[in-house]
Amino acid sequence: MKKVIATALCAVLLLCLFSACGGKESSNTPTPTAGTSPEVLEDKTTVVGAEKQEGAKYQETITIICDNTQMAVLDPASPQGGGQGSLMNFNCIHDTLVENDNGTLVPCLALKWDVEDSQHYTFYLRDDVYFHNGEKFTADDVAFTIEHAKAAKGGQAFNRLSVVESVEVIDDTTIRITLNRPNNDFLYYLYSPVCSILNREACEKDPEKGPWIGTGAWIVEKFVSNEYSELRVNENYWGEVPVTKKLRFIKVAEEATRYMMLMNGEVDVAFGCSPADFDSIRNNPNFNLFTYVITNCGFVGFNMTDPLMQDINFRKAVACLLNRSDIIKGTRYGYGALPTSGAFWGYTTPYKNEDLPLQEYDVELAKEYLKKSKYNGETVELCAWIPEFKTICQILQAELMNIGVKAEVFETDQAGFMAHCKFDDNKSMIICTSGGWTGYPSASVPFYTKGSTSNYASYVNPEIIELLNTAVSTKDEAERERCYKEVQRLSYEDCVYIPVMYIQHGVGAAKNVGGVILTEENTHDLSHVFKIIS
Amino acid sequence: MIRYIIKRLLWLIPIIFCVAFIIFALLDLAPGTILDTISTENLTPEEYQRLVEEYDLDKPMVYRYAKYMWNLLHGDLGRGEATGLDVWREYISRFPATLKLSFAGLIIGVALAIPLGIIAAKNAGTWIDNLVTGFSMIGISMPSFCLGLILIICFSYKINLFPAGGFDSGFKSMVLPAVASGLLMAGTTARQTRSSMLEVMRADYLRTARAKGVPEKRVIRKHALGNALIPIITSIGNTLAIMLAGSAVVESVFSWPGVGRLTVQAVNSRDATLTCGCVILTCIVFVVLLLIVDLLYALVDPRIKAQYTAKKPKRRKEA
Repeated sequence: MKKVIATALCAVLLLCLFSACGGKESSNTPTPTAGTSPEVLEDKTTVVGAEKQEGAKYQETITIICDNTQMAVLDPASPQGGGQGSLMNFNCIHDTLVENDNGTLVPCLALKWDVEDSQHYTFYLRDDVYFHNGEKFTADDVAFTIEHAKAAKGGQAFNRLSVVESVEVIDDTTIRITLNRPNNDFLYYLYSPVCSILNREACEKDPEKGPWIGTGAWIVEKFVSNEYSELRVNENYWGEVPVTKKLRFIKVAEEATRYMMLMNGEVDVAFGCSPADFDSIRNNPNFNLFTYVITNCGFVGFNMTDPLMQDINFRKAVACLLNRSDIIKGTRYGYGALPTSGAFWGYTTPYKNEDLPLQEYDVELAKEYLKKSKYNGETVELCAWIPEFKTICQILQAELMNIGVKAEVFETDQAGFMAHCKFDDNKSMIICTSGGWTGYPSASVPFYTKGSTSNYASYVNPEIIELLNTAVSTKDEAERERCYKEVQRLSYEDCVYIPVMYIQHGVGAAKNVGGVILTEENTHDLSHVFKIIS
Repeated sequence: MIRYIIKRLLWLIPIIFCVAFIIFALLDLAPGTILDTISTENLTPEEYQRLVEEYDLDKPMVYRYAKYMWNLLHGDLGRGEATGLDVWREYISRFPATLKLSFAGLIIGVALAIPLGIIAAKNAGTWIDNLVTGFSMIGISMPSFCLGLILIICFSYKINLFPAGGFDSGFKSMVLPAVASGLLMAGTTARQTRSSMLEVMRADYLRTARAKGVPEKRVIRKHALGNALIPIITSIGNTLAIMLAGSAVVESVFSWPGVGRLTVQAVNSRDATLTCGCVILTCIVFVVLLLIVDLLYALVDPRIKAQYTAKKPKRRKEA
């Protein structure tokens, strides 16, 4: 009897082994769609979802899943305050001096502003705004916010506000900010949620929870670092009071769990779902899928301190091996946008140089460049930390091996990646990652600045630095455009950063959810989200 | 007994010293530091150097370790380098969630394991025994993330009986993560129960009990199980200690805000203070739990209790 059972089990095992080999693709496997989804939102900020209705009843509590980036702290100035979850919280809890309405700056806490030679900015502030602790919003709070940001070295707020040389509080509603040099993009820095205005008294009294006090439409009730936050509506908000009473932001690590929580109705809005699930969400009559392409440019870069990578022929050979359509299909199930030119630039960042032709996938041309290069059989390392880009490394590895280049993939986490590609001690060779672009062109500066963490290529071109300095400070619009386009041309000719794709993200929401403002910089605003229940 | 407890607790001191050293050494060997998780675009070289000095990254690992231990000796677990949040408060705010999950897993694990182990032992060599052994193997060998996702797909997505994640649906939120944790315990404990029971069931005193006419259920429950409990308690204690240490995988799959996730996040951000704090506190929990398990032996087995309470024989003075 035991022999019979053992034989039967072996037969079942063999059957399973054979059935796992070959065969047709499962009908449940999502078929990658080609190119960009037709529903991609082209505007820089877009309100999506249902429209408010007269006499409608709204759900009291809305639960939102954030993606897996940091939601470590609720201090906008903190170096850990840059994750999507944190940014969405800041949008709800705080206000900024100005807001971005589809690329146009509109007043928020600042009613109006004067700009002198792009270096001196005078803001005239609202007089009817109060913080959640009852303190009145004054110019001194703006001054404190800038001080606080400059003290928090390494944060995104520091990156934006470190250009401020001095602040003069003229009166309670007037403040004059002087920059260390002219900067045409300074106003654009201020709409970022990391530049949210904090209350001096609250922050000085309690450095940990003081930054939770804002002027925004939501008040923090509870916050557990990197887990969840619970907000209640601020009934005394100076602007439009939201119809929802409570908001919950929760961080869910697994993509599959996010999708299932959305499908089960446990949450109302889910960011960070896998592109493999996008079609399923879209085809479900109870849900909407909103996709948006972010400005960040996914790229392949080369460590310019590596002897082999310094060879332009080798770099051009690699550039010819990028089959972008297949990469988008393979890594994003088709949810990605192809670069429209060879320029390394943000998706909708102004002054993109469209005259630079995108290097097409051409294996034969790659082989020719390889023959001319100094490659002599060493193993080339491809480095990545983001999941999609790890897959791109594997695709590129196969292509390189196809033309006779030995390649290995080095996968690591974010900290390991940053250490590996450090400007002063760059151990990498070929890097696959996504660059942090925004809606203003001076976001390109870190990629070329000596010592910058974003300068993964350890690339220093004095001509580019000179052009960027001119572009950031000149008042001549035509000159700005010329400088930025020239930067792109020089970078293109040096073949240092090769654009691969722009990632198309998706957010799933229950059918009657509305008021979600999606932005291309991933700083989405859910402060007026609602769900109609009748 | 008191002396024994104190001696065991005193062992915590060298354990904490060693564990902290290992954590600092491992984090030092791992690529990247806390500064690699922040943006340094607009920092001048002097400002960057100041940050390096602030985090003592220009000093050897031993210096940072010594500084940490000095603070620890004063009862200060420090603040997370990445978040600036108090390590003790962060750990304690999450510990109840891990505790709830662990004990729920314990109840499920024990409720499944002991009866299954007894049944397997009683029916040793039959198809029932093979079935239980197979179930144990599945419990032990199936990765918890895989099991977790299967449970979510079956019981949450397909039939919407339990939530897929989170913690705010009360008891219902705890079921699936507890089952995922508990099945691992059930697997190991069922095997241990079976083998302990098999050993005990061959004993002469059980034959005597049966010969005296004691009902079979009483023979198993009172005479056999009682004597087989020592290794079972050890197995349960070890698995519970692992669960209390925070199953990062189960907590990640089910978005359960426990200490496991906190520790993983600390490691990913190369936050030595928070990582060390979490690991040290987990060690303390581990050691205390193992001590409780050892003390339970005394409750279960009078021979062990006698050893603890036995007075040392007085030495006779030579005339």
